[in-house]
Amino acid sequence: MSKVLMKGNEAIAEAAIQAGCRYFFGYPITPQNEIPAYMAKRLPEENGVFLQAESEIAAINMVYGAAGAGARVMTSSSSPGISLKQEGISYIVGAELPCVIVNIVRGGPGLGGIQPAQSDYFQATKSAGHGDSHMVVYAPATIQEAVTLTMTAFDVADQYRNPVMILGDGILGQMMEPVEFLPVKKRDLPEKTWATTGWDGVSRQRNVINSLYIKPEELEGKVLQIYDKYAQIAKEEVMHECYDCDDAEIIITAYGTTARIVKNVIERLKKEKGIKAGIIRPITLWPFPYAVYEEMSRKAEVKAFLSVEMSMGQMVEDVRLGVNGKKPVHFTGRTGGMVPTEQQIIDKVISILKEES
Amino acid sequence: MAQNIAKSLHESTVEELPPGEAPIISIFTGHYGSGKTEVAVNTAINMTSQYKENVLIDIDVVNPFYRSSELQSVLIDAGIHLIAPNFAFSNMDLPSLPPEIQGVFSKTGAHIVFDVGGDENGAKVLGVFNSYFKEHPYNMYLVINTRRHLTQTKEQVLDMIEQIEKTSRLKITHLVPNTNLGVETSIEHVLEGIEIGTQVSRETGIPIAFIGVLDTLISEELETLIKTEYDIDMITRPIKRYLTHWHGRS
Repeated sequence: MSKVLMKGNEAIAEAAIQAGCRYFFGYPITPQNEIPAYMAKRLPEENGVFLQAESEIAAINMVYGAAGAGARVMTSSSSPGISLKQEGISYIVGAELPCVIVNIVRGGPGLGGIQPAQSDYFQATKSAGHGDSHMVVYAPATIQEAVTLTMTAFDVADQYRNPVMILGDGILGQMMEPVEFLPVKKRDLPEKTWATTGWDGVSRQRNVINSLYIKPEELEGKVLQIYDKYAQIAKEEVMHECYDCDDAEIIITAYGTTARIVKNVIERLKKEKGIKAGIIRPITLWPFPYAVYEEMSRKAEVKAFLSVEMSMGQMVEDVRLGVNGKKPVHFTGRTGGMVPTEQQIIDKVISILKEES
Repeated sequence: MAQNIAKSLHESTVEELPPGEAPIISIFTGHYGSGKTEVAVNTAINMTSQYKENVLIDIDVVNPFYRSSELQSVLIDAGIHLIAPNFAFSNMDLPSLPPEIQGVFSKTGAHIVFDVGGDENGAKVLGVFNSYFKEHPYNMYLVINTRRHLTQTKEQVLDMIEQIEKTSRLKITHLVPNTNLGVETSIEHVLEGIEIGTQVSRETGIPIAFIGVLDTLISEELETLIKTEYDIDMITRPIKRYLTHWHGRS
């Protein structure tokens, strides 16, 4: 397939199919409806199953079932729908099942609105579900990157037997860019010997998919084992991009759509104001790339950090953890479906540099 | 045959539709992501001087954003009256059409551009106005981007025509090849679009109104190249990209 023009939502759906996803269970919600619509058209062509469930809760439990049987499976939703899925996500973490969950974020809280937002950062990175649970969270900034990360997500889910989230926003879901579907780096994935594929009573032990542990010692043991995986994920899978960070006097940080706006800001600051700014763009939001903030905060020329988000300030807390008090950390953003403007960010940078000099 | 394939928008609107007695109605349909909105907005803006009144109706009930309603200030500056769905500027997730649309059919001498949502799903809404279209002549343009996944071949475009005509209960009168990859569009993509568009035109007898070409790519060389390649006059029209305000840098 040569380069084609695709919407973010469609591209994520096609990338999933090309990564071997053959099961999709979901429930419609704007601004991610092109994902189920595309899956409904394409999956039957691949002998796959598309099913519109009666609710988000039903859909995530169908994901649990298909993942338990060893299939590559995906669900997608937007903010309020993800809240509904959280019980299931926690069960999937507890049962150590691989799956991919897409959240094309809209403004909240509550039913909120259909316009783009990044206000589900805490939910995605800090509270995948109840209990000690995490998901790997990828935050693409282009449609091409959404394709690559969706394909990678299925491998990472299988490798660590844990759900992986693609966290986009309404703009990324709706915008169109040229994309190519190229295979991602091949991983040596373990065979799914744990899957409930039907027991003949002879050839192997009975496989059980479960997240209930009656004895606290056993549950603690299970959680510790899951957290060993998380330590390994934090070591192996963390991803970020640095852009114009050398010699920068201020490090801006942003992910997804906001990072695209910030890149324009960096060019304009350089040209219009002679200000050297750089951006750290986390690609994995969990695990968060703390180390690069630690490294940047040691640089003498860096005066301050600024987190730009479509929220009231969520990722900024992780930036503070990374910077660890060595430099001031500021925040600017818009919320409720509003998008920060280049000028707003430029004005903020100028006022910070005035304050810190 | 050759003459039948290429027919200018100007000819078709002026010759086929009686001037002065009714509004000139241009309906832009096509596959989701074909560039309908950009082509519709560009056409509306470029033709304002020819009509005493210009109206653009955003009748897209499929897209939540990236739609012509977002270009209100651009359209006002161009002297175009925008009629947008009731929910277009809000967070309402439920499309509903303003009654104002019913009134446009009596605007004698006006140019009315319908920017319709993608695919047969988007075209369905046109059925609401079926009684008007039965009495008023119209031009319905199918915008085709052969770099979109469901309109890459002649067969797929023919299928799209059938679906859109069936659900809209209208006939497509013109084709507009508009093959593009956004900012990465090259001359080869434009030619690829003309090739498929020409095949569809031969098969269906539906003429090509014009070729949509990204404004940065349009040139005399390109027009000469098209003429040499296809031995007919095809009008290229520059398409300026308006819906890029949220994109930033990748």
